Amino acid sequence: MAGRYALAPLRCAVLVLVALACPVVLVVTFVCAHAGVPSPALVVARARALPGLARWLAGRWSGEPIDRPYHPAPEPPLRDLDGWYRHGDDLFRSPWIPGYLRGLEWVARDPATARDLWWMLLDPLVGGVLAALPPLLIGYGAVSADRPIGWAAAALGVAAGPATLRLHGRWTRVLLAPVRRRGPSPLWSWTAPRMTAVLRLAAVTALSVAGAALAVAHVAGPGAVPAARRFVSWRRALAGRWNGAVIDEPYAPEPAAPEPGPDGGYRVGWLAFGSVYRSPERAARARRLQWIAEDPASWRDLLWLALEPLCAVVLAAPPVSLVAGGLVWLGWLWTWTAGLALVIPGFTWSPMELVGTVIPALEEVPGPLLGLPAAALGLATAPALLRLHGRVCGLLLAPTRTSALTRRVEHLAVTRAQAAGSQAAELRRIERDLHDGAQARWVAMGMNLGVAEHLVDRDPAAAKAVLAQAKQSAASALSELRELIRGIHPPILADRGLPDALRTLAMDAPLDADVRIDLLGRPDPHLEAAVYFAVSELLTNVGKHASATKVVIELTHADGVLRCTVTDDGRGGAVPGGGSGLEGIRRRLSGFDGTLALSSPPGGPTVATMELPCVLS
Amino acid sequence: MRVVLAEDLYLLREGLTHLLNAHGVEVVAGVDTGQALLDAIESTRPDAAIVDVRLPPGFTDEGLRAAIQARRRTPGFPVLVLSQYVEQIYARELIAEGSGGVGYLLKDRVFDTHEFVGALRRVRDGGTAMDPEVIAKLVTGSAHLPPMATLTARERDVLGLMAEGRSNAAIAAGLFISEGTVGKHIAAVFAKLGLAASDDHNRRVLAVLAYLDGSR
Repeated sequence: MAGRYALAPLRCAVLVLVALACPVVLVVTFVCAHAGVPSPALVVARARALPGLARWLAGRWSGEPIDRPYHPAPEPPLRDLDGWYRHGDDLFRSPWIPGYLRGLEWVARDPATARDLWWMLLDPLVGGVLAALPPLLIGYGAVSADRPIGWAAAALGVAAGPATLRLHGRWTRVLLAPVRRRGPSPLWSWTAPRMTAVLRLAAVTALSVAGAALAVAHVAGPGAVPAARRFVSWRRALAGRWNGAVIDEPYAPEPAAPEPGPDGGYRVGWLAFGSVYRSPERAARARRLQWIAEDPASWRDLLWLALEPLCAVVLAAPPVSLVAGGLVWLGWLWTWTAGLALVIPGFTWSPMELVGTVIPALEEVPGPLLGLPAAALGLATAPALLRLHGRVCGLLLAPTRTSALTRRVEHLAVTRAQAAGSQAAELRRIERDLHDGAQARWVAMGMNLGVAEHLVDRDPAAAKAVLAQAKQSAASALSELRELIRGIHPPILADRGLPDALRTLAMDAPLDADVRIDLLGRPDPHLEAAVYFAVSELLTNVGKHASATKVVIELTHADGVLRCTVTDDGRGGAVPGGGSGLEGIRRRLSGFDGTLALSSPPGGPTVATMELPCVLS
Repeated sequence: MRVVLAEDLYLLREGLTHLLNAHGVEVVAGVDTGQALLDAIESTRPDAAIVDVRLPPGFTDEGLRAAIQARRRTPGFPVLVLSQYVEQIYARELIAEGSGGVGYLLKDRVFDTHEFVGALRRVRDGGTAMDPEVIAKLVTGSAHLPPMATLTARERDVLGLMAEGRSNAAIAAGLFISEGTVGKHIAAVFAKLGLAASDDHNRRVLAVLAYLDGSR
């Protein structure tokens, strides 16, 4: 007991020494780390010895055991089979550099490193001063031992020793103990998204000014026109990401490159007028300009560019100025000026003067009292205003009914041409197959019958042989026709509809195929055929490429959409194109406004989803 | 033997009638719709019916449905279904409707008249005649499944012919092996597929088909 009181001042003195060592280690660490010798990581890791000592002392003397807060040290780099050492995507011959980089990342990414450095910076001011008190009091007592106050000071110093040690231990804990992970505070989770909205509104305001400048540039020359369109397109995409208002592109489709006329010049018409260009590049530029100028959407863009600053002033500026003014002007600046007014005599200016010129009654109110509610109001209203801004932008930026219809017509024209093209190709294939297959066999059959007729009296045995050949030809012709018909329109599809046709496909597939169908009624026959051939093609792909053992075919109809998914447990990694037939499926489906989505991560599973709008009969 | 023939194409109907007459089979009625077939079976009480899958008025699977209905009315009534194309799904539906006396053949098989009439007689006697194409699809469709994968190529051939409804002698002739070898192969197939061996050839065909059907 007495020993504890006797030792406490000595221990305090040691803690003061530790505190005094802090700045030295800090400076050495700082210099070495920036000079890069011999390794910043090494220096910082070595410097951990001092906080480590402080932790150990806190446990021994202050009754405050503190665990090490550091991440575990990284493994030394391992040599791979090719004899290289890997760090991220880089390969090294020697283990030194990857080891060095690993060490650097280990130290730099550990939050405890920063807390150690903070501790070294602050301990001389807090822990050092605290620990110095008992020895100083005792020292003062020793010096003025001839006066009663000296004795009192020395007694206080001895008495306060253990308590000081405990208090010092608490302080050491503050920065050197491991931090427990906590979720974001409710205040933060309320503020963060709203602050994001305020920042976006501020960005929208700034961008609206830039947009207005682009609108003005229209007057200066046509060069600004494509730039303005790119800007508006970007803002449209931004509105989808920021404001949650998805706006489709309203533009007419881009024109094809101009074709040279008979005289080698490129004519670009412009209403009743036109110009002839010698170089294709200039003609293409003029055509592009014409395309943009003739598109009503461009003029709506221009109107929007001109009107957006107004919209930004009304919708975006209020919350931004409430938050910025409330926090910066009335909070931060007011605190500073109030502080300076205390220190500097004659300094009387306060940010409240500006508020006073508007509402004199508020001039004497402390700034933060007004500023914090103002900022909170700004934050609270920001998300709704951001959404409103997105909707207002949509009024001018979204496609009008006319342009939406124009785009639809364009899409239909393209898919119709594709459908007609693939139909023509299909007819050619059928014609060729009939010509080379069944037709040729029937010719052979007819000739054989003719020969048999000729032979039947003279050589019945030979006639019999020829007749057998004719029979063989007929059988072959029949089986070829059967295959051909299957390719045109599978009989099972005509007889039984899509569900049974898909079941047949599954039965014939050389895989374990499972069919799940939830369909009340029959889709349009053309659509059935499209889905049937698409599934057939997908199954062929699965059998050829996926090395799968199991396939599940699902067919459902909900909300006017026929959905068919083909899922296999193969190796995945399928990509459209490359002759995989997926492009063909996509084209076939696009004729019915259908889509094919493919999800095929490496390692599988591959899921092909087809969706077609359709009504069941 | 007396049969009813349901076939909507006049030329084919006449051709088949001639062919069957030439082999001593009497066609007591030639009809062209499913309902007429059922009526004809009712009134003439034939030994068997030969039915085309596609019949008027819908030209889909009216013939098949009529055949199944006839077998439902008279269990085990022998039906030989003909078609321009064969589908496993139809074969299964035919087999599912009672045992024995079922045939399902491509129209092409008519070319080989002896074979065709043989199949008809087999069906009339309560046997089975499945088209090789259906069997091939059934066998390849389940070839990847564990017990089927253990069969040798020759055993699979034997299984296919057996499923068509052939007798041991016919299988031996078709594969150019002795009947004893066929018997050994069949025993091996039954052992591998876990089926009880049986001499009744109709029942063994059904067992094989049921196995192939159930294994999917």
